[in-house]
Amino acid sequence: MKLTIEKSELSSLTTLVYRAAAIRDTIPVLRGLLIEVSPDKGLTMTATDMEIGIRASTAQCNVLEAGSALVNAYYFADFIKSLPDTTITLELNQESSRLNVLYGRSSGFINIYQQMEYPNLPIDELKKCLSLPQKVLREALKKTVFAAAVTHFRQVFTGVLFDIKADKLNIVASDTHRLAFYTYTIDQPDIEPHSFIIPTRTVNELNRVLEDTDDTIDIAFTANNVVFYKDDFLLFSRLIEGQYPNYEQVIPSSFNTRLMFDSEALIKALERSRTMPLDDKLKIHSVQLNLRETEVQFNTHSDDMGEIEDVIEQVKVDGDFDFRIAFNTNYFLDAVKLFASESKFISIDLSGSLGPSVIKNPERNDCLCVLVPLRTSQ
Amino acid sequence: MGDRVILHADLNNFYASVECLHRPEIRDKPVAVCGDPAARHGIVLAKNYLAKATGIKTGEVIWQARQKCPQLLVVPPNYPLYLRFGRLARSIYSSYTDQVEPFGLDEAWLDVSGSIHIFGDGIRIADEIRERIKSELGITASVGVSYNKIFAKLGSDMKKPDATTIISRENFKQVVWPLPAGELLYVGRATRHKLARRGISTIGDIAGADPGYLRSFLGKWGEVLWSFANGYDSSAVVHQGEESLIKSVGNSITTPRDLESDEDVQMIFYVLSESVAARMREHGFKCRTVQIQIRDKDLFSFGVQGKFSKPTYLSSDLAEKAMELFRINYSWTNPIRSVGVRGCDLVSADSHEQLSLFENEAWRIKQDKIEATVDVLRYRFGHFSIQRAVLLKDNELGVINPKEDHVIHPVAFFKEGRLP
Repeated sequence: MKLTIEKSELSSLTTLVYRAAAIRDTIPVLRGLLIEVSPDKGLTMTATDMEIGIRASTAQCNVLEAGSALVNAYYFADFIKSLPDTTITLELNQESSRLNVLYGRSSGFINIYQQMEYPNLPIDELKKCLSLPQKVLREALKKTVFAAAVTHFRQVFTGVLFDIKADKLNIVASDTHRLAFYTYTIDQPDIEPHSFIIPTRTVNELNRVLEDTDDTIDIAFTANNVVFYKDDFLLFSRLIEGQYPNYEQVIPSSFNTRLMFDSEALIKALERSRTMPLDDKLKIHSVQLNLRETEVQFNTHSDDMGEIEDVIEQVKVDGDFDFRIAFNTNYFLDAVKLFASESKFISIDLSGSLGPSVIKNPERNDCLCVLVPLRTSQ
Repeated sequence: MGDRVILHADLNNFYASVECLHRPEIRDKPVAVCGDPAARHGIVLAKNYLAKATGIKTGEVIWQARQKCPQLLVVPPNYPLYLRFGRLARSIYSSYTDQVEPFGLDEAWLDVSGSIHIFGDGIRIADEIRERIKSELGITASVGVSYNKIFAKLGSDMKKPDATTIISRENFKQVVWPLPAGELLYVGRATRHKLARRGISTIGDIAGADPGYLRSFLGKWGEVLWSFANGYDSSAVVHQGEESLIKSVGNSITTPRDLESDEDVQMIFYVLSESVAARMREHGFKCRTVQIQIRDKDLFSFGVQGKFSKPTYLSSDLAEKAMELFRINYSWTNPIRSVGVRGCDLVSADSHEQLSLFENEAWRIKQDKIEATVDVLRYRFGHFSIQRAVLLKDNELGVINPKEDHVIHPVAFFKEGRLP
């Protein structure tokens, strides 16, 4: 195996792939990055820890001899990243089990792994089911994944749900305290209703390759696995097993109050509120909203440190007012930030002090965040 | 820095005084509060002065006491009432200082060093406390005033009832040293004998002995007692709240008959959970974890615990989780003899509670109100004024009230068994 390639090209391909390798694993080959070189496909790299797997190729290289090698993924990536911007030669020396890396007058080598046991990605029996514009999937994931739980005893809450029904694809994430919902109309008449849950790690890797274009990415799945693929790139992932709870039921459809805030002013008030340190009594950042006829007072309090009373004037209040409702400040801010960049206004729909609220861009109905309030002791 | 001003308040004949207060008809008779002979607890716990005059001592069995005083009136203890009076007394103490350290139900140390410029010197505060206890609670207290905890306690024992005793640096050699060694805190029968065999019979003898010599036959305690006797004790009066850092709230019970079915166990879980939940609410806690403890007929025992998705003080949550844990972990190889439920991993109930999308929050809020209402009903009309229907199925198991049978033991002078 031998090829020459520009450093920038090699480095970006490596960066895309290596994180799928196992950091530590009882099976050493899973820590590997598989490098394959062929005249028709150019350079292909694969890494997998069997939870997720990434394969990507580039034709922008000069293949001198076909072949393959398996190297430690994290070390190889670190090393390649640090190389100077020049043409790099990768050359396998079978006898000494080394991958030689030549750059200018300098060189290094990396010991290779035995490649016999390297697993194939379980992608053979997959059938394509869905194509989405990359920018749609990108936005959908960005607007939902933040709401998934980092850890939860019900594993489904650590993933993002893809729910295909009729002509809709609903993408949902929730940690039970908040829920982010995104819906997209798909024009594929033959599609079968189906749903699957992908881990947040997969979402984060996917977000790295999705571009802001109308070019599509294809999705295929079996009962246990899903694959996202486009030209020269493929991401395989295990699915999270389990039944996602009925999310449609918990998205409220009617409200008693609608608040319309200036996005900028709302973000400023919440960021100020979050500066308040936590005290022993209240272990989460919280802010209490006091609704008046045309304004909302934001109250933040810590027994130890102090108190902030922020008044946002000129809030459009439709429906009931003169009540208080408290939220986890971080959750609130996450939701508001989702829409602040695209809209001058943010709407918040409420049903009393304890009912779930809905935060969204008032101009859009395809995307929203449900936020459950805090129950205060007063 | 000047000397500390420490008070030790001792409610005189506490249990007996409270009983006499509540039953005017027995006030002029010799009275002893005794445990239940049927449960083999039949000893004298407290007695009034008329009973004391006949020579009855705390700890005697009822028939011994009766021999000394045939007309003795024996009354059963009413712990909830004593607990309430203990609390009321403590709330009087707390109006003078935040350093109040209870020692059992009826005794407490107060460090009033910081408050003497507000309320007057130690003697004035002591007299005022006695006056208030008499007029507000209807019982009496003896108070010792000194510059350390040990002498303050000795002081409160010297003149009874309803008296203030001062032990100062100037007078302690005349007042304390002639007292028998056994009066000193932590000189029990064994130590007293060891001392007596070496000719040490008074506190003054201890003070005068060589600390190394005391150590040779009493160990570390020798030096501690020597410093007590000389007034060198410098242990602090614990701040309020600090003394009872509650880590968990639990109840366990050896049931009146062996438990033989899931239904039996469930009933007991409800009984225990109600008590644990009520006590958590009383102290302002919620728990994140519940533990169960099971002991079978052969005394084989095991414990398991499970986590809640969020903190709770609802008895239904506790009981259901307990039952879930029990079902998974017990296969009925043997009937069960005793069962315990404990809420741990406590958090303040004051904090905000994050509601959840996928749980029935309306039901929880309602359940909260129901249990709070049950607390109020039981407070006003007694524990058995309201019961779960499931407990009516068995009149042996359903009538247990672990919350009020829960006995408080006096705390140790040294926290966690540490020596100073």
